[in-house]
Amino acid sequence: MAKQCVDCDPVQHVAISSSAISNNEDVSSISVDFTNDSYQQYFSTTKAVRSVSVSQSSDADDDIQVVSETPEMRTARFERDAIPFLDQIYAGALRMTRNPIDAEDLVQETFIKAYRSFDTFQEGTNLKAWLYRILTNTYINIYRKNQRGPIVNPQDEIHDWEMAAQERHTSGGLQSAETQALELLPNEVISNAFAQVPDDFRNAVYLADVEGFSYKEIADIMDVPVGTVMSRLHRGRKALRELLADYARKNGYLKGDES
Amino acid sequence: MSCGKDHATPCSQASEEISLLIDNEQTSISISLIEQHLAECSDCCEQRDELLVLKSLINRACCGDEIPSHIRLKIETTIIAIQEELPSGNS
Repeated sequence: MAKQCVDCDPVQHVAISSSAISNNEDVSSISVDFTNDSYQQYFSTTKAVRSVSVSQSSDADDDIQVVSETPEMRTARFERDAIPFLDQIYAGALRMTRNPIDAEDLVQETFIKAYRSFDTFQEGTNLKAWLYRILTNTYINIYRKNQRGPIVNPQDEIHDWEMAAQERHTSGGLQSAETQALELLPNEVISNAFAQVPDDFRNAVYLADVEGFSYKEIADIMDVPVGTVMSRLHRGRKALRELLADYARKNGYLKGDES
Repeated sequence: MSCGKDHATPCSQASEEISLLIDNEQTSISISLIEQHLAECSDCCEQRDELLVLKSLINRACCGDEIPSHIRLKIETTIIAIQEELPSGNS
C-alpha cells in the first residue's frame, strides 16, 4: 500500500474500492448488486480509478491534492458543487416521499451523507446522479428497509411491449381523444395522480422525464439492470396515463363522454 | 402483436423503439425504419403522441419545488458542525 494511503481513513479506503457513494451504514444496501456489470462499469470510472492512481502514480498531482484536502476545502468544494443541487434533490425527495416533512428529513440525511463521503466523489463525473444515488439508498434505508423492489423478470419486460401494442390496437382510436384531454388537466391533478403510481415506477419516471437521466444512469441510481428501468418506465407511464384518463372521464374533460 | 397490417417492423418492436427514441436512447433499428413504421401505423403514432404528452405533463406538474429556506440553513449549519469534527488534513 502506498504512503498516501496512510493519510486515508482506512474505512474510507475500503469504501473506495467497493463503493464510491458512502462509507457508512449505507454500504450494506449499496453493495447488493456488485456483480452487476453496469454498476462496475460506472464506478470503474469514478473513485476506483483515482484510488489506483493514488497508490501507483508518483506524480499524480490532482490525486494528492484531493487526498490532502482539508475539511475547510471540502466544505468549500461541497458548497460550490453540491449545494446548488439542493432544490432539485428536494423536489426529487418530495416525489419519493410524497410529503414535505419526510422530504425535508430525507434531503438533510442525503446531504449530510454526501458531505461525509464527498472525498470519494470523483470530480468530473455526474454529481447529480451521485447525489440521487445517495438519496435513493437513504430513502430505501429509512422508509423501505428490506423492501427493495423486485427485479422484473426479463420475460415480463418483453411481455410489456406486446401487451402495450395489443391494448393500443384494440382501443379503436379512443386513446387519441383521451390523450388530448389529458393536456387540459391542471397540475394538481397530475401531481396527485403521479403520487399514486407505485414507488419504483414513479421514481424511474421522475428520473427520466423530469431529471432527464439516461436509462443507464437510472439503472445505476436505482441499482437495477437497464431492462428493469425500461419496464418501470413503461409501467409507471402506463399507470399514470390510466389514472389521468380515468380522472378526465369522470370529470368531464373528455368530450362526448356520458359517464 | 400486430395491428393486422403488414409492417416491416412489427408493432410490438416498434412500440419499444418509439419509447427509446423519445427517451433519447440508442434505438436498435434505424430511425428511418421507425419513421417508416409511424407513417404506416396510426396506432403507434398514438403511442408516440401519448408518450410526448405524458412527459410534458409530468414536467409541468413537477417543476418549481424549492427547498424551504430553514431546511437549507439547517443543512449548511450541520455541514459546518461536521467539518469541525473531521480530522484536519495533513497539518
